[in-house]
Amino acid sequence: MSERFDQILDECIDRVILEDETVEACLARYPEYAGELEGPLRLAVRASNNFAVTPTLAAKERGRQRLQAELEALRQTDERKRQRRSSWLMPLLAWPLPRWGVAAASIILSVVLGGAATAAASSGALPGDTLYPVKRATEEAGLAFQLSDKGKAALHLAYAERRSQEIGVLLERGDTTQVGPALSALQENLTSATRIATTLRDEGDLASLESQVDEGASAALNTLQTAVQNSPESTRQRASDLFQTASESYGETVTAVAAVAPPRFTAAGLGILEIRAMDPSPPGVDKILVEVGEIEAHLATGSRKGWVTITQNPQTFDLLQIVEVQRLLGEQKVEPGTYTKVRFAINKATIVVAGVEHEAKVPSGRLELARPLRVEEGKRTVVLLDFDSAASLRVTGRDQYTLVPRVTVLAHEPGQEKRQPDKGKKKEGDDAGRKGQGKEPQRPEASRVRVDIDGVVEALTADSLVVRGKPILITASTEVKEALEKGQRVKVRAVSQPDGSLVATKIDVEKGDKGPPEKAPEKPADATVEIQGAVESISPSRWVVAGRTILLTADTKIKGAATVGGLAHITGHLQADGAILATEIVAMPPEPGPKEKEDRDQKKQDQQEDKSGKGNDQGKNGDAPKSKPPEQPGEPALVRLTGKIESLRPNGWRLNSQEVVVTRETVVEGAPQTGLEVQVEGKKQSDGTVLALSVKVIGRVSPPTPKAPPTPAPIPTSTPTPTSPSTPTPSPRVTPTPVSIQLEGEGERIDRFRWRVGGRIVVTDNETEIEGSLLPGTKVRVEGIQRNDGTILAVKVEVLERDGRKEPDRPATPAPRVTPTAIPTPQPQATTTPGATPTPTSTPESQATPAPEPIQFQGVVERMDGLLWQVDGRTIVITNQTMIQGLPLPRARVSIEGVQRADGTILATQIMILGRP
Amino acid sequence: MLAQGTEQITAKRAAVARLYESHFERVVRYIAARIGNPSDSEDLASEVFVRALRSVDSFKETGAPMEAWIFKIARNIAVDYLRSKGRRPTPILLDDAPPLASPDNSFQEIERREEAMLLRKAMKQLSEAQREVLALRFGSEMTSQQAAAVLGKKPTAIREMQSAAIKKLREILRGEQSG
Repeated sequence: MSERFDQILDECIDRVILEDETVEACLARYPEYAGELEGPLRLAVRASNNFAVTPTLAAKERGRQRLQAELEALRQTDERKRQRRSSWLMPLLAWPLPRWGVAAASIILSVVLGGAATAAASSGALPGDTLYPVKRATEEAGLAFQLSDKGKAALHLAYAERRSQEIGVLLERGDTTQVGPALSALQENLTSATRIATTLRDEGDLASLESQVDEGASAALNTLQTAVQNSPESTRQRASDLFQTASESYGETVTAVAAVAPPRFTAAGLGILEIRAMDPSPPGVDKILVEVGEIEAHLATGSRKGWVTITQNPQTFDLLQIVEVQRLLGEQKVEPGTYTKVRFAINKATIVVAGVEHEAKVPSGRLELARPLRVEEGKRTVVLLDFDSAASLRVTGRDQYTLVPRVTVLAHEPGQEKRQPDKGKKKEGDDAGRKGQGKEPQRPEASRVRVDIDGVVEALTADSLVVRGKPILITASTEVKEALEKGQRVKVRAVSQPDGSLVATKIDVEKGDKGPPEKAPEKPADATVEIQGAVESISPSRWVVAGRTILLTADTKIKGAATVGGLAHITGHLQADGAILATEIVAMPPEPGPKEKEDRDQKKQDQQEDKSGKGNDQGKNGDAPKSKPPEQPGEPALVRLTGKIESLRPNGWRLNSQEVVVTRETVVEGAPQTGLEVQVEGKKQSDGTVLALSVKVIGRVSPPTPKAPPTPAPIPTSTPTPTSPSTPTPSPRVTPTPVSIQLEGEGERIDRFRWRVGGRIVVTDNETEIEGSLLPGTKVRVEGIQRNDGTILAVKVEVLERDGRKEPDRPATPAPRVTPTAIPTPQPQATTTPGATPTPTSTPESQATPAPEPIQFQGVVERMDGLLWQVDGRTIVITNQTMIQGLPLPRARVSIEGVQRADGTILATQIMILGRP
Repeated sequence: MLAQGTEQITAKRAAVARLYESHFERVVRYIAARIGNPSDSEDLASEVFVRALRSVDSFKETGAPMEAWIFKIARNIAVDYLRSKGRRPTPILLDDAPPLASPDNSFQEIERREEAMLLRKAMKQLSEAQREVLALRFGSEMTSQQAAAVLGKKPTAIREMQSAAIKKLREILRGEQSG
């Protein structure tokens, strides 16, 4: 056979076998060879058909899994090689190196580890980095290995979120040159996810994908929003524009996926966007008054894109008064569609500390929240803004505050608009909803919002669990697929109840990712604390008492009938987030009712008049003010006491042998201390105590006296009225238990009078005995009294050591610790000194305090708030001594090394970023 | 430099993963054509890609496509398999069982199976190199150029071997039919 024939036969085989051309057509191309060609060509076709074996899909999937396992094994091998190469340097790094030493070591590391570590390191690479193409190639491989369409779409969404994180880092650096390609990649990922979503048929897959789109968009936009805020001034406008583009892309994806996902409801008309706010954490500050101006939401889809005004009415509210109580900020009927941002102006912020108002700076003056919010026709979408006042408030100097609001969007869900029961005609309701004319939008039947919580099961009972400090009820309708265990990592979908409690609708246990091991408890072992204070809110699983969150479980014993406004004495275990897991609650008689509040207001008014000189002279005899209106029969007598404080306990003071009850409602001027002369105005209660309406420090402390001075009898402002028979008899009063606190740790200065020691706020005053030079970073021992707001009033502060050097003649205690010591006082009269604070020598355990426990664990970064991170539910404290390897990003998997402190936080010495979970 | 090498390795691994998705079926067919056992060929095809991942650093960017390198590995694995079985390569057939008449087996089906049996017998008489070329051309649906890259020969040599193999196959089949 000639080479020419071989070539023609080869060509015809390609045409027939590979290109599906017919034998006849090919023969027609080469008529001169047709006779010679036909036989071999037809035989080739027969042979080819004989080889047509099609492997099964199952076989291909098996192979795919083998390859994935192999890839993972190779990755781990690379990692081990990297560690082996770096291990010889570890002894060197274990020594405290000077700064230049660390820098040199880093350079050496980067050169030596460059090889095998690259694959692992590429996970944190950014656009423009050498390793970035590796990261993208790895992602492509991940997509290639993903069999199902849903899986591919989910991966695209995950990669889009990754792009947003990269963009966020670049924006914060002010590097906008590399952002463009990353933004394009993000959009491509979103487009691909959307395209795949439109081909899915399984409703379960679509619903799951829709959920992922919502969550992913929320996380991504929050990341970008934060980055815009943190970006340099010079590039902020560009950053803002990029955010806008990303926001719209996400908005389109959310809308497109929602369009193909199973419908959640049917309705017609405009939707309603309702904005509410809540604040779960009120530490150490009396009030945070915020004046909110115009609230707007940004419509990212449809032809009427742009900002929509929800309300223009300025409103002032105290962030600390919306603990567990949602505050409606505004609502408006709006165009249905996807809203990607909510923004509002903060006109003014005032901080009240110890009764003194301080105007706080609000740097931006405006707050923008990025979160896709879907508003659907005839539905109400509730946006719950969760203010974190603790993280928002910064002390910038003496009595100087800055409010940088930290707000997250907890949940949103379009809900069915409730119709007026007396206007039951559906048609009318529909018309009203559609036109939105002349009728006020109706409030939803209940403030139910969907909440998704991921985290470790911190506590578990038969009908509740605690995740991320949030108690969640388990009911018969809760979907729980497998037995729950404490320490498991779970995903909980819950619905908030009108009372603020959460009821789980579904609990998924995350496979193979159990929480921290049993050996390393997340919280300090049984740090028992007791507090007493006013009950501010009550729900089945969570109370707020004296500003502290109290978690209830089925094991919590409750004595007495609790009411909001009443007092409660809590015994429980301090949680890492500051909440108290209650073991026992003793409820006390309620505070004065509304009528008495009116009297209190009147009294405050009287006080104002007194201050302005309009009141009559007030000596220690305490005459009644002239402006006092006649008392109503049966009302408690108003009394005024002046004298020195004999004892000062959380809610029971002793003044001139008179028991005085001080609550959060009591207006306190100055810093009351034992021995200080104060003026108390209050009401004589049926049990003989005086409920203080106001306390004013009027004198300086006197030298200690063994006994209280002669007690001027409280002089009623009018003839005391006997207790009315109709007055409910209060339940037996539980004597407030003073809680003496010993605390050791590094002092972190908050302001002139407030320090943070071991995670607790310690307040000093003129009477605090300070031994040594109290400077930031100083290790101190504090003895004091726990106040009802959770802060510690320091009686004595001992400086133990500074910068690792012991103070002369001060015994250093190795570990920071908190030793709350409840002092039983069966009879109030028996307690004549505040707290009877035990000295260190009287506390045997102080000698046996163990050295700080070194701890090492791996987990996922759940939150990064400056120098405080949350990793698998644990609080990680970052200092300038913490060595961080890798690019820290939220949700990164990290390895933490450090020491566990007495308050449960972990002082990190080394953090290694392992990559994404 | 070291970092660049690792970057390439990671990129190559990703390329192997992509080739798995696009070439798995072709590798299965090639191996099936070489060893004559469809079920084993699926597992062996997976092994091809696993081995490729492990030795991806040995793949040199010389301009030759990675798929040729994959088929070289497939070829080695097929040879190893046959050696381990201690037998000569057997060409793949649609069905090793003799064609039996049944309600499900139409006349055409019986005829097709008979032809398959004839082909199997005929291919047994081809040389190793000829079977290799036919497996690559008809099993993995490679072009002559691609097959040449796998076998390390020139395309003209492949075409010549292909023509010779088909000619010989025809002669064998003619002899079978006449005999």
